[in-house]
Amino acid sequence: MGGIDVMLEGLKIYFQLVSNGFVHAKEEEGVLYFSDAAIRDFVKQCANASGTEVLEGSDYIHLVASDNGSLFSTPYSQLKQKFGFENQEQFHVLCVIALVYLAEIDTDIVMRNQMDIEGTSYYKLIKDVENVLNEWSEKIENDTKFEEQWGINIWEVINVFSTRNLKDEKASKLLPSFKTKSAIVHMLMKFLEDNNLVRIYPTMGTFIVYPTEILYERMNLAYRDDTRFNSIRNLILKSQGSEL
Amino acid sequence: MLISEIWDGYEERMKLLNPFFTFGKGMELGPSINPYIENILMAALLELFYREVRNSEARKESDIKEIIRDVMAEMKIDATEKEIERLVAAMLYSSPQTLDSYKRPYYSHNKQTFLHHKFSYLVADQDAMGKNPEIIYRLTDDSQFIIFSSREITAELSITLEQLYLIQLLKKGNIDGVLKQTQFLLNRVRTLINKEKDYGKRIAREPKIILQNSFDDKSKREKEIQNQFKEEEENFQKMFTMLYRLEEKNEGLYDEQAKKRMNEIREHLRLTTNKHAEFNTLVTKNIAFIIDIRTNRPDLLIKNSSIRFRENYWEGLIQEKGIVDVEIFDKTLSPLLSPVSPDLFSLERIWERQAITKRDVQEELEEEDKEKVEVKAYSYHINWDNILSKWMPIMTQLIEKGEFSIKSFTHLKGWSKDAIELWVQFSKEKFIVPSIIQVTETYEDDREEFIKRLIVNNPRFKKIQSCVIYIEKDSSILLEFDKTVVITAGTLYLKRPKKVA
Repeated sequence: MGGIDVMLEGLKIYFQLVSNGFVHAKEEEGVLYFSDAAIRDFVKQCANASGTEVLEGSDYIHLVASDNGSLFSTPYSQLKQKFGFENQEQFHVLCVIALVYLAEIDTDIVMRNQMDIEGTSYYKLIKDVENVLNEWSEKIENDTKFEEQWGINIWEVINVFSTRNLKDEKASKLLPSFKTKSAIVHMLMKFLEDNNLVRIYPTMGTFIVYPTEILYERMNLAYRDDTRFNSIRNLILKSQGSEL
Repeated sequence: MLISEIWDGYEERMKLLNPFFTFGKGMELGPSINPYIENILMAALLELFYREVRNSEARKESDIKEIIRDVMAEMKIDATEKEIERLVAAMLYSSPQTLDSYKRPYYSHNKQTFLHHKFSYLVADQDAMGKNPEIIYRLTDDSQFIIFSSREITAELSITLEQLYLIQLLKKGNIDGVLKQTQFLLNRVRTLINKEKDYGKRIAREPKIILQNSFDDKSKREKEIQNQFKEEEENFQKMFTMLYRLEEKNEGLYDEQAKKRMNEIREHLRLTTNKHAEFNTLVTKNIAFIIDIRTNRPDLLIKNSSIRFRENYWEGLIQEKGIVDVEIFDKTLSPLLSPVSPDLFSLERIWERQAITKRDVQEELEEEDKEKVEVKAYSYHINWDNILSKWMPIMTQLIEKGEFSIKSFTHLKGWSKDAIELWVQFSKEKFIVPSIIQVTETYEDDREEFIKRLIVNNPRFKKIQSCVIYIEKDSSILLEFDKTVVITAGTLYLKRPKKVA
């Protein structure tokens, strides 16, 4: 394929990625993408130039925000606009829940049998988050050094979550808010659902979330990269004051 | 001293039996229901099994509740709504609160301790669900085993075995039995297809697993598998022949009912044969895939990527050290999220707007010296005539039919950028038209202004007041118009407000 064709085809794929976040690996754009190394390089260049990154999975090709700033408005700004936080800590709570959820579903992605995939109940996730927050606060109380190294106002974050009830017994419908623990989790899950990362199903008067194939692929592709891991590890060690 | 043979296959035995032992256990519903729980749940499980075989999608939580209610009515057992819900929960989760699956211990003679295994009776039928907002359930291997083993055959189920059983029934001319057995067989093949799909997926996701000892490498027993398929195919042919002979023998003896059943059997068999061929193809493909990786892509097998989110990022770093820098959130979460996309890629348009904004800033800067900084409202003149001429037909259709798909356009000739952007504006969020639009007022929101101008133009558009206008985007399709405009496909809807009681 010649230069101009590569560009045209590459742009088509790139814009599809931008508008959708992913393309199916087995469908038209995906097949084209894998068929030609020049197109692949071109798409990756476009992605890099706009502060994004291409992840090549077996079912999907993904375009994700790169960790050093994207040209596009990020999902964070979208999250902020959509829900309107009163303070930073509210946002930080959602991030912590997200991390706990990711750890929860990452038990055994590789050997996981698609057929027996299990959902995560809000109740279970809330218990896990509570455990983590308890663990942190106990550690802070016993270790002043540990307390000093936080980059966020962890007491306030704990406060935003831990002082809330599990759910509002009177409310007939669960809506995203910071009023109850369930509502906070629901807020995060709604956001993840909007980004095609989970699916939320009603059951037993509450909700159960299932990760999507897209989330699994991204977790598998993004976190197994040494560069990203080292960059985060260095960030943590540096902030902690200990030299590498 | 115990006889050592008791431990042969003991773990597997227990794993198979635990779902039996646990079925219907662990709840307290009082003396009028407690003794009958297993009876109720078994009937419900069978109902779900047959619905699955018959491709009925009425397998949602609400359907299960309905089934339990019907079963209990049949058994003449009274129950409150709460009790019925508790029974539904027992089919789905070990606890209605945590929504966990069941977890039971089994003794491992090798490890000299108790291990745990998890199982469920019903799981989400991802294939049947598609975009359905509710979970459609299907039976697991464990619960299928409860059903299968409560018939005559209790050995491990292979297709061949199921076929042989079916052939036995055909020999006996047991039509009812044959009909039932064809359903079991069809279900068996379907389950195997799902498993095989999963097998392929796992290899694609992590090619390295083919090196693991626990991995069932089908490429190593390709010959054996092909022979088995051959045998199974022959069995299908045999069944068709037997069915034909049976009909021939009983020619003229069948009533309408029996004829109908014979047709149903033939249909099941035909479907199963097709599905079986599909299964064969899948297995062959996966074997080829494994061989291809071994011979052509050894790089996939050595790639070292042992870093895991849970162990390394979470347990090893973040949970241990805390959020020492707020950037950690950004760095860990950003690779999961796609950038937020603009709906319309008309760079010209973006630049045009930017140019105007810049001019505004310039003016403001010059005035900075003055005491009072006059903030000039940025004004952009919208060409309403063009918008109205292009949108009038759309809105007319919207009122008449309630929807309009942008796919019905082949070109956007003569459309101004404003007219196009109106589409984008509607696609961003649901727009609730104010209940009263004043024709004398000027609205700041372009969409409100648009509706006002529509009404000024033709009062019949007053109907739109207090309606909801929104676009359901079909993100998988990008439409390109006249080589300059790219829009995500979508359908514009108009919904009348719900009457407040």
